[in-house]
Amino acid sequence: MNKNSVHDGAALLNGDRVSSTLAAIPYARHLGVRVAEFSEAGAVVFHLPFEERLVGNVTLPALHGGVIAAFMQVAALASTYSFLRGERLPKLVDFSLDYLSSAGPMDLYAVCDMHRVGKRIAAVGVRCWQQSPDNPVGVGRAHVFIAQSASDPNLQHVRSDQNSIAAHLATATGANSPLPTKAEDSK
Amino acid sequence: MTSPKKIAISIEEVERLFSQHMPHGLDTGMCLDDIDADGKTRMHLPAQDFLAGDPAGQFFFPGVMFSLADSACGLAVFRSLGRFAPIATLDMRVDHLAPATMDADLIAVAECYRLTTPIAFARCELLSGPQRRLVAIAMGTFVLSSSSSGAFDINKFAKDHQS
Repeated sequence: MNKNSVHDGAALLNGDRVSSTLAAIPYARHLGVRVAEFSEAGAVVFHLPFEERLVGNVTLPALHGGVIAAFMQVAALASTYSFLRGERLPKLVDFSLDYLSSAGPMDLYAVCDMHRVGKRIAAVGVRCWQQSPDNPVGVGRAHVFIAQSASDPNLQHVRSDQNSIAAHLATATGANSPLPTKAEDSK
Repeated sequence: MTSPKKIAISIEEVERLFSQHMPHGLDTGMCLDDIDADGKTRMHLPAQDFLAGDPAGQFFFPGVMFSLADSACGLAVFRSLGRFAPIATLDMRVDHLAPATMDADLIAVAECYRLTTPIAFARCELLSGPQRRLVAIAMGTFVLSSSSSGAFDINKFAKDHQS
């Protein structure tokens, strides 16, 4: 898998794995991150519908920079997880974000580029835009830890939560998601 | 190298700005603390289930920490300026040293360590857990808006935004 080119890797992106990542991250659900589409190249386009509570500056108005960052991080983690075949949820090592312009009171979109996926670390680029992909509001770069560290106590429960992730699928994908949901969540 | 001026801005003014200026701060529950004795800007964010990054709800999601760091750094820049002025985050980077446990408030301690025209440099430490362990370090640069040549009148702002 690691020898695959970026484009081969993109073709491996798996909608269920993307959805399960969104479902597994409570803050991603709180923000309202969803999948907009799968691009022709196989990459996932993430979508964050605008809400008033995401605003950081009411006079402009503009979305909070932290909302943009969190949305892009969700995209990076979900893309990474879908790229892999293991059950471990990836962890963010660092994240760097260049803000290119103020983000107005509109929906956000993001797409990731798996620059490199090694055995332990993935380098992921994220581009975020509003009205046009050619006019990004932010570009980010994440290093994601994808191997299990011996000293990490939180991975046990992550593994054991994989079953419950599936149970979250229905609630996370939402009514307008193009993704098929596996089960109805009556809760 | 000039060190940033430290001019006191009342907490009340800052809180008013926060409560009316930043719905996202209200949404997540960010709180501004009194300025530290060392002049650093301190904020805290009480743990809530929806702020978690893992299904078991044990750790803050990194993006939540980014938000808190961005806000704290921005406030630190305001304090260095001695006034509120439109600023924009140029870039910010967060290094995650350890998982941020949700068994206590997340704490941000930020400072503006260099102030020029029009760029301000700020950094922030994020602490979590009862032991206030250092879990992340953030660094950011901010640009003072070209339209911010005049002083920002907090009282006018408050009047304009009273609903």
